[in-house]
Amino acid sequence: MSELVLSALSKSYGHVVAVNTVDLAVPAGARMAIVGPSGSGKTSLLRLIAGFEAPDAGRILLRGEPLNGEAGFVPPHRRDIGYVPQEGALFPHLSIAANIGFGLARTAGRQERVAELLQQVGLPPDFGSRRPHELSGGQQQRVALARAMARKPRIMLLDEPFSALDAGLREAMRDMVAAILGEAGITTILVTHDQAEALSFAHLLAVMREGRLIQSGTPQSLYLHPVDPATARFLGEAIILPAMVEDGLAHTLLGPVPVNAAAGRKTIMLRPEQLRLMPAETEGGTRARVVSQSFEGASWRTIVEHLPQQESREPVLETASVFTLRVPGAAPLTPGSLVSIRLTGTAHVFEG
Amino acid sequence: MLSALSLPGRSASGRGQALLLTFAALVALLSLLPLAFVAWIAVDSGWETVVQMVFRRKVGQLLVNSALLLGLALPLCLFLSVALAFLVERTDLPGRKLWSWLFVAPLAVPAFVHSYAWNSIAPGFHGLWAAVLVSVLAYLPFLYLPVAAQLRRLDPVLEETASTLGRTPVQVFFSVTLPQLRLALCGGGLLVGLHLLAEYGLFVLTRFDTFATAIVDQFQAVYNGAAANLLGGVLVLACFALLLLEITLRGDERYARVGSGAARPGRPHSLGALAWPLLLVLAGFVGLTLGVPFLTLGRWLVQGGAGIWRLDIIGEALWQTALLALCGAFLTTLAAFPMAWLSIRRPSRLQKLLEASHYYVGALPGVIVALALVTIAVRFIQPLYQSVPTLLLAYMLMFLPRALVGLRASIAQAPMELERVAANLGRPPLLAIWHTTMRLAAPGAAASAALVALGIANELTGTLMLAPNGTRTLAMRFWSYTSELNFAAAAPYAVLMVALSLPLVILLRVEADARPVR
Repeated sequence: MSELVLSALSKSYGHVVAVNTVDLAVPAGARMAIVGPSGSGKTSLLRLIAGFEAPDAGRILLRGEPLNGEAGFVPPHRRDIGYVPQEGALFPHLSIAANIGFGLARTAGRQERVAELLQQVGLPPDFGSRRPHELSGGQQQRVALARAMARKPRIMLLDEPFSALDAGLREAMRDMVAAILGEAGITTILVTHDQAEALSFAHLLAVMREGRLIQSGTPQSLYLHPVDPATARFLGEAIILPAMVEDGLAHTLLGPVPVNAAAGRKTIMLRPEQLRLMPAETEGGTRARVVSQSFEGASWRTIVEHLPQQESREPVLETASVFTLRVPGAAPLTPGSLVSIRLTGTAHVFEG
Repeated sequence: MLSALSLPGRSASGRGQALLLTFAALVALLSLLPLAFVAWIAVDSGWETVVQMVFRRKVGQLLVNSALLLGLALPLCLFLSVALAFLVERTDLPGRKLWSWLFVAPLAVPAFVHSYAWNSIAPGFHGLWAAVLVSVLAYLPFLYLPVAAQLRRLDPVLEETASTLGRTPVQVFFSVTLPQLRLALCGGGLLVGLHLLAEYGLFVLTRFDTFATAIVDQFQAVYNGAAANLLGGVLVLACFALLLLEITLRGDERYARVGSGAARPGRPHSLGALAWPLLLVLAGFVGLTLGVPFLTLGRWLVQGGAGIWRLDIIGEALWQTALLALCGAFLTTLAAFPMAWLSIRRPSRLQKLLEASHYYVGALPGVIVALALVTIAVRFIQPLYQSVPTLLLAYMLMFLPRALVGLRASIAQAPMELERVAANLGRPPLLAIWHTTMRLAAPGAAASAALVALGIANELTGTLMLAPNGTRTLAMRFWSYTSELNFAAAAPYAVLMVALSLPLVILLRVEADARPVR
């Protein structure tokens, strides 16, 4: 059963349509990431779910119960939804323990619960007496998570909670948060503009652009089968080529590649990892020349230029012919040397 | 001590800096004069006189009066400032922008003009409650401004987060919003409190005795009497008690995430059916703060007709006021510059100490500064008694913090590299500062000088006590007519003072929008 269902949800600020008829269902216990560039409406969507804003139209159902509409608007403090904002937003005038216990009733077990939560997010017990400004950014985020979990909410909303942390810490925090929330079985919605973060954190991905929900599904399916070139590029580097499809093969500038599509002129997408550089005279490859290479540690960032084939097919020529690939290995390729490009796997065909 | 500030390998700029430091130290020493004076009279009078003069009924009564005044007016101001600021900043009250200007506007009316207005419509308007009412109406903007600014800057994410943790809007207000206003409430409250202790005109007209009125009375009866001086000592103690109280209440907690830019405005609370009754109440309130003074002034102007516009006399008062205000503002700005420069460019422990003495003197009532200068002049440098230089020095001491705050902000915006480059290009150190930082800080300096000039233009107490014979500023003319109960003749002067104060109000209002509290 879906924990949260949004149907035809819309919200405008003045003339700006922040959220445009969005339909979305989040299954119970799922971890969903809403991604999109800034200004795509993802944060506005989160604010509608939290109840900080009222939608102009549409419905929000939490476990089948409406949070707005005829039955009346349910304010945030009666929604039972946890919220971790950017940079944590700890209450600066309260100690860490008071921050974590903020949502708990003043009953006997309160102190024990606070201690338990501190431990759960991996902070030592003596942190309770500290003040927010004495903590690092990552520690503040842990406290913010503990505070939001204190009331055992049905849904947890994370609003770019890792964006203020530096790169190494960000990944560790992401894994920790995913583990804690997964263990507690809390349905989680993460809003982020960072596609790598979204891909690695979530079971489910929803891509937003200009207030609309463009596509949703598992990270793998969206990565390999994006609905349009913009989504493809947003989720990672993409090589997008015009192609002529015949008998399950797409003929492209870089040679034929298998597809699942009917015959005709199409636009196809390959991920850079589907391109392999081989020695120059390899059978079945496409001729190319190395333009430049730069060392990136695990691999070489390699720019190659496609060289036109002698007996080329007309429709595939009209395209950019420079590609960026990542080539693993220790030895560099000399600029100017000839190589052969081979395509692996299946290409994705954009519909329409 | 001087060498502690100069950095090695920069001897040329070190010399310029030493000059500025010497100058700042001199101003700081001058600032200490009033305090030295209070200490000196305590010692000079001898313990017996102190006991005899201080531990008597009259002083006890004044203490009780001051405590009652503070105890009633301050909480009222605190409550009203938060309520009004909340309505303007956090609700969907119609016409919020207009209301916020209306709540600040009473600042344009000097406190004693408020008092005059009430006095002339209700001659029996006397005593504690009258004093409390007029104080609240006149001084509320000092609290409203910082509280509203803080409220506007507060990141709504704190309140939103609190609401997801199950707190109702009312609980959120008391557990999250109100604690974040503490700095603004403490700072604004201190300002109101110091004004209550220092104000003279307002309380004379409401016939409510405070230390300030008693001191001026004593002073006018027997100039330079021990009684006035010792009362002054007690008043200074009261001011220090207030300062200490504020420091204690303010605490040293950090308030992170105030005004970090990215905050989006929260959803305003809907007033619903309450909106119309509230609008009526607010209109009534503005009727008291602005309606009464302006209607009264209007009435007297109409009644007085053309006869009260004695242009020769008014012109003279205006000319004298302008001259004093401009000279005072120039002197004050000049005196504040070395300290402002040092505190931005060369912060150190010594600089903090010097700066503190620049600031504290602004907290002292004008009567104290005046008493100190009168006594020193009479005792040591007779020719300076009731002279223009003494009066200007008093203005400088009273308005030093005003000039310093503005200058500091504008110097902080001038990049330090320019001074180095100028020095590198062969300018001697002081000239380097003059051609770069001073030039860039000029607009800010002009604005803060204007603030000082406006303050001087409406200053009454110190001017009454120190001005040479024959001086007739706007405030003095207004005061003498009001004292004769010639309300109509006083009206043109009040109008002019209000007109002069309008730019001040606009500046303060705009500044409160632009700069975080403290």
